[in-house]
Amino acid sequence: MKKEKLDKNQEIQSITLYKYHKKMALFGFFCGLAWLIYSVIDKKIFSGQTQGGYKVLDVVISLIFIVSILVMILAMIIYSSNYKREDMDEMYIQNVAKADHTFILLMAVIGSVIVTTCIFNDEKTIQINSEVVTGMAFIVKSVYHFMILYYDKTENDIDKLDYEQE
Amino acid sequence: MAELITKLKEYRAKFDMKQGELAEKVGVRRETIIRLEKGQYNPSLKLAMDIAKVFGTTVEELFEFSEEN
Repeated sequence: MKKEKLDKNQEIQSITLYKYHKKMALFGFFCGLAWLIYSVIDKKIFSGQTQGGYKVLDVVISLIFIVSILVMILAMIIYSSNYKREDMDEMYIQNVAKADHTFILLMAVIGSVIVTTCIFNDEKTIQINSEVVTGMAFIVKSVYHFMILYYDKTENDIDKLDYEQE
Repeated sequence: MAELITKLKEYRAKFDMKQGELAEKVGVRRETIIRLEKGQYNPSLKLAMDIAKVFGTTVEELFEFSEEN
């Protein structure tokens, strides 16, 4: 009975590579989005402070966003550390290599665009703060996981033989 | 580019074996077997030999490339 329970726990704690990347991509995207929205609300609160007093609603909304960010980060940590992932095979390694290649190219292009814009922006109107940078980092991470999902996507083709046996 | 033609599905049916079972025997994911059967993935020499060994046949019998002009 005890052994059965143990086996069941092990089953619950294993995760396929597809599910892992899907969860990381979705949590990363929403966490990044929450950071970006939070930075806007944060800015609004501080501008309100100088004009005399906070708006309670803004503070409550920002707190909700902070909690949701924390929950999503915690979920990402749990999925990447507590769950046993499926073994990588040669096709997965090849697909990750393809995703790495595309991701590096994309980052090089985006990086070049940002650096060029900052250098040639005479008015210095582009402002980035730590919250925006953190949000973008999470979104970039989610893009990488989406890329792996795209390259590793396989149509589920359970043939007649498998149906009969299941 | 030459297209990969495989008799994997026929052999699997002959041996009454599920995709998951074959995947487990050769140490890959089921997705890899699905793509192999569709001719969308070129296996490594080791994987091709492992699959041939499971069915007791040769790599040449299981896989071939169509010649395209």
